[in-house]
Amino acid sequence: MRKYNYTGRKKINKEDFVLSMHSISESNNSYFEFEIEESITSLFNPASNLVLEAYHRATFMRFDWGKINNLKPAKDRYLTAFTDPEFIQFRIKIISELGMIEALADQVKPESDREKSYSQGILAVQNTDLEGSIWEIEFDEDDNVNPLLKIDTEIDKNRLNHNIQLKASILPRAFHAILTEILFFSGEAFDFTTEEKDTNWRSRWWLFCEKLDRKLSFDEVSGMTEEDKKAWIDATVAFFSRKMNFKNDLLDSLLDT
Amino acid sequence: MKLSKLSKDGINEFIDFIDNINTIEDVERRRQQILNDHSSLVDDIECKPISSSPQSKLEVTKYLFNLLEQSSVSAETDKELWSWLSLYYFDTIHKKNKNNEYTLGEINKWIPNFEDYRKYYRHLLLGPWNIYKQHKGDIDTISGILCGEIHTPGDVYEQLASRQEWITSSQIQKAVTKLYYDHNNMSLKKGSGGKGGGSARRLSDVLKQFNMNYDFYAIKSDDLINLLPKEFDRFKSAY
Repeated sequence: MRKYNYTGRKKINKEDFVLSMHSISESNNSYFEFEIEESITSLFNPASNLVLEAYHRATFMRFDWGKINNLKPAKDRYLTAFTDPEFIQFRIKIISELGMIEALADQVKPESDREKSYSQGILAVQNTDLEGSIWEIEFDEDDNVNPLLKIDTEIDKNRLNHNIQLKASILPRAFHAILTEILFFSGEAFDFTTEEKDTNWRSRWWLFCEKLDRKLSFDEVSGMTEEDKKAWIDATVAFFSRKMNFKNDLLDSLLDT
Repeated sequence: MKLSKLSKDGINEFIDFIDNINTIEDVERRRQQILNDHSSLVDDIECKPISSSPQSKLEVTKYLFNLLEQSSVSAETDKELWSWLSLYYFDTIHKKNKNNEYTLGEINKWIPNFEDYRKYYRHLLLGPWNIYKQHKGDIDTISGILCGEIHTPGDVYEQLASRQEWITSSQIQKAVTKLYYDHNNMSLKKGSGGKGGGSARRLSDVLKQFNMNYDFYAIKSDDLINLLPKEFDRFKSAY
């Protein structure tokens, strides 16, 4: 859904700042560097404050950058609250003395020295403590955040790229869960087109379905019963599994062992 | 017993204890057995029984805060320590249901999950301790969120502790105390729970909307309260 800003709040554009994240070797810890152009800060009240917030889902860290007329980088810029820096996004805020947000950049993904290893796809994967479950899929309330496949901490997520037993048992069911979320629980958040692929994860997955030649229009979805939807999801997942050759690869692997 | 941690095997035994508690013949004996077999000493600090009655969330948390202030360990992310504390103070933090059965809920209420904040804050001891520590025990800030009994998080806690951004904002927590805490009865005001107008659940919805326009660290709690819609008036008038 297209969003409109009626608040009078100004937008801080990408060209107005440089935000980079750096990993520390031999640890999973990261820190960030930030600089903002004076041409943007000079537009605001000198007494307003510049603040950066790093977040991923409900985890959050805040970094005060001082007043507009006396900007000072936060001394400690380590992102210690996050278990996986891959998913961190930032908000950059200019805040009036009364607490109003005067300018904002949200969902900022920092430039990273680990960029190449980051997932650029449509499914994020993370190792996490699942208290006994092997894997789970999680959907964020932010429409732009890709679904997250969480795999138990003791099973290295990178195995998903190489291990056919893991792939064949997890990916089709994960895809099933994602299609179920899209078809049954999207509500008004999705119009069943690929137009909003830059802002809505559902559009990106719909594009993926389109590439699989499994395409449904808004009208087609509207005309489907619950049973129709379930059948379509099952058929699409089966098609995906055939395309990925899961069964044959799995059989080969079982015969090898 | 002195302040200790559970070993990895001890945590697995504790999970088994939680999963099967209603079929364990002698729960107290089993609990003692896990503590005896799988504890390793952290500090020479005696952990006394918590005598608060009823088991006030604030009083239990205050006791734990003072206990851990004496300790040499950094408790923030110590899974083994918090698992031990949950098992050691099991009698204080569990409550049987009407049928005299244990209803211990999800594992993360007893064994912290540090990798997901939405699970982390649910730990019955660690979640409140973290709030108490963040706000340095300031009663004007935490009385609302930490009101009630330790074994029952309650709606106000569930709704307003679930986002780190909110829990670390002293102004939001002060507003919660001003709106929902009844100083005379030292309890939450009627209607603060549930789904009704002005409830904590509604406050959570409204805060999500305010998030677009206001910074919860810079805005003052009174200004935040003044911005709330009419449905909150019955709570506003009483503070």
